[in-house]
Amino acid sequence: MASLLKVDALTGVTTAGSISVTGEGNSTTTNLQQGLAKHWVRFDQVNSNTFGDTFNSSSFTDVGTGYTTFTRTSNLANDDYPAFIGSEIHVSYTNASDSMLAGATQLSTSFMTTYHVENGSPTDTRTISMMAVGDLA
Amino acid sequence: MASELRVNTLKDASGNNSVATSFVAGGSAKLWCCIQGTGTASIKDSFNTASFTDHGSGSYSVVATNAMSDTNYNKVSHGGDNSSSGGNVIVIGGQRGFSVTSTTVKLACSYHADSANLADVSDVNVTYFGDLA
Repeated sequence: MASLLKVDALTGVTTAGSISVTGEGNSTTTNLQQGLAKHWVRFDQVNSNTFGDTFNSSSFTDVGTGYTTFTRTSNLANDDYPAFIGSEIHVSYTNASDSMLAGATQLSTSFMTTYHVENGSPTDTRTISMMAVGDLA
Repeated sequence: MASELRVNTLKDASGNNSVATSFVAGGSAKLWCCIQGTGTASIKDSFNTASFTDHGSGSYSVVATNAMSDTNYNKVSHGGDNSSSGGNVIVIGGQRGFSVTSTTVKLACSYHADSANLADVSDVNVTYFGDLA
């Protein structure tokens, strides 16, 4: 029988921040809260620094060419969260990559700075995509 | 009191923002892990991670507590630089020659300027998406 639950908030009974979801194999469970992405961004550094779309971002700061800091609405619990970044790279460019900067002024529970390089130098890109997982505060 | 709710679809109380519970299960990360790769390597934070092994310079494996259903799951890895000025370009990927299992991946890390050699990096991040066993 199909079913539909209308609700604005989900909270665990035993532990408020822990709800189990049965996985695809119909036996193993996974933790709902821990499996969710907590912050994601699609951002254009070239065209006036604009968000394409985002979740849990309150603002950004253009730190410099290739550098953007994204500030969160809801903080993470610590600065040990994994983050994953990808971007659009010009077809003729080499030595290109994206990093999450780990310096104290570049990474915290409330914000993180991404760094895009092409041809070995910081460069603005039209599409930078970032996702952070981890625990909310 | 523990409870179990069986439902196919979730909506907010206004009836908007519908999401099928299959998307909740399928779209959730099944593992994530952040490894401090320099110095004495250690797990900084993780979910569904049983253990990791430091195999030497720039080589790490991660083992899931709850296995995936097969070896075809999506594995995403990324490195963080320990320099506030951006530092070097980091390259991380699955290590060639290692056969991924339903629980374990092995990652190889290097700096682009010295890509012929593996190297320890400050943050080694990996996540799994796919079906649990």
